[in-house]
Amino acid sequence: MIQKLRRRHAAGFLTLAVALPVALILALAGRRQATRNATVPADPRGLATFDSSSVADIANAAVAPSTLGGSFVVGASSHYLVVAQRGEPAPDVLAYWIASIDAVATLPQDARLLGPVGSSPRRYQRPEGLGHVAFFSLAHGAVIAHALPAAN
Amino acid sequence: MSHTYTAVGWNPQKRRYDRTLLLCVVAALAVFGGISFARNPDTTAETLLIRSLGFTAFALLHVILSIGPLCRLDPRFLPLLYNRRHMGVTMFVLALGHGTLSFVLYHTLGVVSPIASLFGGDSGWTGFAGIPFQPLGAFALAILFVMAATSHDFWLRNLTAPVWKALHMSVYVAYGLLVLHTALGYLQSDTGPTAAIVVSLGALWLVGLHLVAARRELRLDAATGTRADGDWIDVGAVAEIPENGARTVTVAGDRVAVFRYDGRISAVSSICKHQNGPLGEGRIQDGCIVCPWHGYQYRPEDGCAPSPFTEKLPTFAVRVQHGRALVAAEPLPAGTRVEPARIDGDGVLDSRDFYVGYGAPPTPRQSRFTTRAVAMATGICLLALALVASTQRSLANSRFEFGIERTFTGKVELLPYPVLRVTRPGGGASVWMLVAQGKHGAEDLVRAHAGRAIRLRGSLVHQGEQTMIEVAPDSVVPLDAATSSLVPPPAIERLGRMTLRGEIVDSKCHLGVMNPGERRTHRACAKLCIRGGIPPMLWVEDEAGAVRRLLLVALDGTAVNEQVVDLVGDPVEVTGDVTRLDDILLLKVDPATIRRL
Repeated sequence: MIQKLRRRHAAGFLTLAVALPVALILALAGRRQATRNATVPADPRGLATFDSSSVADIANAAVAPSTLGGSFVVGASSHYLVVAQRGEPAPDVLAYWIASIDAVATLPQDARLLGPVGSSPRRYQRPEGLGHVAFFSLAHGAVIAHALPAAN
Repeated sequence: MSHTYTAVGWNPQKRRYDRTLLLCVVAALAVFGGISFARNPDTTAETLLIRSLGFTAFALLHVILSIGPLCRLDPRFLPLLYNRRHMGVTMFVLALGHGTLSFVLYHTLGVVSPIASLFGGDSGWTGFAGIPFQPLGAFALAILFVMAATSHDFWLRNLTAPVWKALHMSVYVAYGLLVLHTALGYLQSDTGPTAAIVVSLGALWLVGLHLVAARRELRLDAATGTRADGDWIDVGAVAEIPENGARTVTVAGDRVAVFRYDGRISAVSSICKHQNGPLGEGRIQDGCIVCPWHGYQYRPEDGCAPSPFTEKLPTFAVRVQHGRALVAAEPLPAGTRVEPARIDGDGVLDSRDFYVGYGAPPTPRQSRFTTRAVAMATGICLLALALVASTQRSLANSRFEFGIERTFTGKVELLPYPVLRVTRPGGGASVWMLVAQGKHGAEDLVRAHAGRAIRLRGSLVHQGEQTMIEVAPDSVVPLDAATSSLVPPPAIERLGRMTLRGEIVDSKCHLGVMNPGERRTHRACAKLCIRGGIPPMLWVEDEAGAVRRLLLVALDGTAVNEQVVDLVGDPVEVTGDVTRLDDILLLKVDPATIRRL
């Protein structure tokens, strides 16, 4: 009996020795390759995308920690604001220009919409006068971060 | 050995063995889980658990299957074999956790029965690399279940050792299935080859080790004694048989252990009645042959286990002639007493000393060897797990606010998939897709309110800049027409005809309910979701890594769920008209023209 089992064991492993390498080579050879496109449709929320890969390239960039974790980065020049989200994702975030940050949890009536915010930096026209950038999550219905951009 | 059945016959060695095992398993889970989390902090806890449990179980299976042949090659590994069945049951529990979580997450809560989804949900595959890997794992788990369930001595005794042994040899079938399950599963999700290479190295080690051990056994069998006198077989010089040990010879295809003890010679079958352990590698303690595997005992002169036990071995007539031991070619019925042959003179050799968890304590040298063997096996497994964990592909930054319900107000539109258009303070609207709980679309929940404002409760799912709400049942409340009028009309822009390459995904899992929620590993779940009404999306990427997701719509504006369901999870090429509606993209397409790449 033990001889029979031993022969079966040897035959089983000889089968595995032949079958597994063949199967693994076939699986490796046929594995999925990345599919990329030369062009994709324009970002439906990206009204004014900024072509730099990092807002940190902008001088005087301010970092605003988010109440949901992560942060927002605000770069500023005399005419433009560049905003981007970093780290933890937040749902449907919009950037607003607000005069003061007295009521940071809710959006003030006179808040001016700059536009959507995403992980890719976006550039918006800088409103005139002094103000802050508030990051408002439309889905959470709350201001989750705010930053004071560098002065002109 | 026992004649009554207890769940576990605990002793200090088993406790020490199990503590070490538990420690190693926890370390493996921590290493794989920790590295995976550090690499992909946004992966869901379920995915983390599924992968950690699966790879830890697979690594442990390698250790389990290595112990047997290592013991054949070097008896110093025997302490590892002593309580191997606990290792096997532990491995099964890990695999069961992996399998159960995968089954519940990927195959339940849909419009198809979970079993049908498991075994038929991934139909329509092409090429060897596309073979559905989940059924392979399910078959292997079924085999492991049978083995774990019959691992107790109760089954060993009732099935008999040969049947039990044959049954438990199906672990090699399970192993082959699991190699394919693991390699295919990984390759269908990740484009990198690292895990497949690690799995290949593991298979190479195991198969090579077993073949080397089998070759050694064949050589041992070939060393049959020569016929000396009629039906007697010459075993060799008596002086060459160690005192209180045995010499093993093969007689008519079966092994016979010829023991020398107290100036006498006895011969019995070398196959232990418990698990077919090699009695010839055991020794005589307190007048009994002790099996080196689990300590079963037999009297050398009649092959019977001491009372109250009832196991019996076939015995062989023996004699000593001119200083050589001779054994009869034919066995006697099990339990037949044979008068031991007397040895003239001595020439005692040292018996081999080893530790198997009972009897004499281990020598310091054996203890050091065992410790080193355990440390090395653990180290290799942890290294392999760390390598696999650290080379997993990066996952998306997504969230599913499971268990957190919020209230939302907006206008329902059918695109044809239900969405909620929400007014942005300051102008414009955001579009959030609506889905129901489980693997179901939300059309039935909101269809009656299309074109009107509603308030609903639900949980957010979001990735990047796309947002979805999993609508809570019975939470939809229609609002008045005045509220509807506050939502601005949709901003529609036709972006032209485009040909795009990407993957059709179910939007719910892909946006964050599962992470990862795409590629072939997720195919069965995606098919269930799309069949259940979850909007199908085309997920595309450009050369710079910019991602777009486009809702797929038929040319006549209807849903394409049924037409694209067999194409999910595979790379496809789609040509159609792209339209921007507020902040989402629609791709109008003739589903018949979608081409699998």
